[in-house]
Order: sequence, then C-alpha cells, then structure tokens
Amino acid sequence: MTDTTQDKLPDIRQTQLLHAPIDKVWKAVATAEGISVWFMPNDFQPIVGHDFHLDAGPYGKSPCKVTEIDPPNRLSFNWGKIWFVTFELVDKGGQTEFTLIHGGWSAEGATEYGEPHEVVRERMNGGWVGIVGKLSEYVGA
Amino acid sequence: MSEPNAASAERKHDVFQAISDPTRRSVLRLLGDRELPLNAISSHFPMTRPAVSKHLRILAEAGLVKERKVGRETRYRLDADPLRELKSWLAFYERFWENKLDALKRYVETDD
Repeated sequence: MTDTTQDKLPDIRQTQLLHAPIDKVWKAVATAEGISVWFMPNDFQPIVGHDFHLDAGPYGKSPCKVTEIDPPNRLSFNWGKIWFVTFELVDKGGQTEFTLIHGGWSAEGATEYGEPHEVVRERMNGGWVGIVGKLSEYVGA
Repeated sequence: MSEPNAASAERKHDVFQAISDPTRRSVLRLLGDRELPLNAISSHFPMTRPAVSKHLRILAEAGLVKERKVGRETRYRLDADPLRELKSWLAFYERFWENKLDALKRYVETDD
C-alpha cells in the first residue's frame, strides 16, 4: 500500500504482450463485437460520452460511459458509479503491449452492487467463471 | 489531510473506507510493530488529538485497530486480519482480469 494524495486505493494494473498488430488489438478492445468476445456483452461505441452497458448476465447490467478514445492507443470508460477502466496499447513492432488499468477503488466501489464485499464476490465469482468458460469455448474452438 | 466528517463517523466503517485515507494508512504503519497510546500517535501528525482519535475510531470500527486500557491510558495496536480480507478481494479482481486478458490474447492471436 502506497500513499497517494487522492483519497483512493491503488489501481489494479496488468500488462500483457500480444502477438498481434496494434490495429487488430484495437479492434478487439474498442468495438462492441470485440469486447463481447473476451469481456462481456455490451452496446459500446467508440465515442466519448457514449453511455453503454456491460451485461454480466444474471448479475445485471452495469451502466458505463466512454470518457476517452485515442485510437489506437488509449480508451477509458467509467464502470458503474465509481470504477474506471483504461486500456492502453503500445505498438511493439508488429506486436502490441496491452495494459489494463482498473481503478477507483474506494468504499463505494467495493459496494458498487449495493451488497457487502463477501456477497458480491461469491455471486460474481460464479458468474464470471461461467463467462470466462464460455469465452474459452468460443475463442479456443 | 482529510478528517472524517460527521456523516462518515456515524456509518459503520468497512476496511476500504478505513484505509482510503492517507492519515489512517500512516497510523496503521505506525502501529505495525508496536502498541502506542494516543499521545504518542498524535505526535506524528500535524493535527489535533481529537482528530487523530476520530481516525483511530474509524480504524477500530473496521476492526483494524484494537485498543486496551493500561492504567489510565488507552493503547492501540494493529490487527491485520481485515487487511487479509481486503487482499483476497483485490486478488479476486486480479484473477478476474488475468482471465480476461488471457481470453483477449487467445482472441487476437487467432488467425482470421
């Protein structure tokens, strides 16, 4: 845990080198079709200010809003009331370094779904395991 | 430096709330390896003792700080158990994103 000037917890940040050109990765992370394959069904559009929903199946739809679009390098959206998600893409000579940032961790963020942490975690865990399983089937076929 | 306001002091505090404040994180670090009375804790912060006391109460309500009386003095110490809960909560999301990024990798690395 590090000190920050803001009243927030540290972001989750993950980086992955993808063996695919940046334009292909951008298409996968900045179109509704692409996002629905690896993340969740949605009605995303790459337009700043666009309101859309991520569909977590039986766990409900999260209202989201696009806050930043900078093709093919950067995309941000608000996830629910508190969280934000940023995708960063860097061209690495035909490959792409992809970074995911999931931030906005605060008390309110933890209870985004209006339930105690433990309850949300248990319920969403089941849901997400299902989603990820479905994805593996789809892309692994 | 932020102080807890009246509204937040009335709520039951959870771990996220408790450690979202830089002062309270400093208090926890201070109590990491020793038990201290309020005076000793206050001397580390540019704020009044009642203000530090409020922070301690929020930490105590979240279960992060335990207190006990020694004579006329109340001493405070860290209880790290709730932090382990928090860690598993964040670890859950770490794992969630690892799965998603793996799915993205498989997706974009598949030939059209």
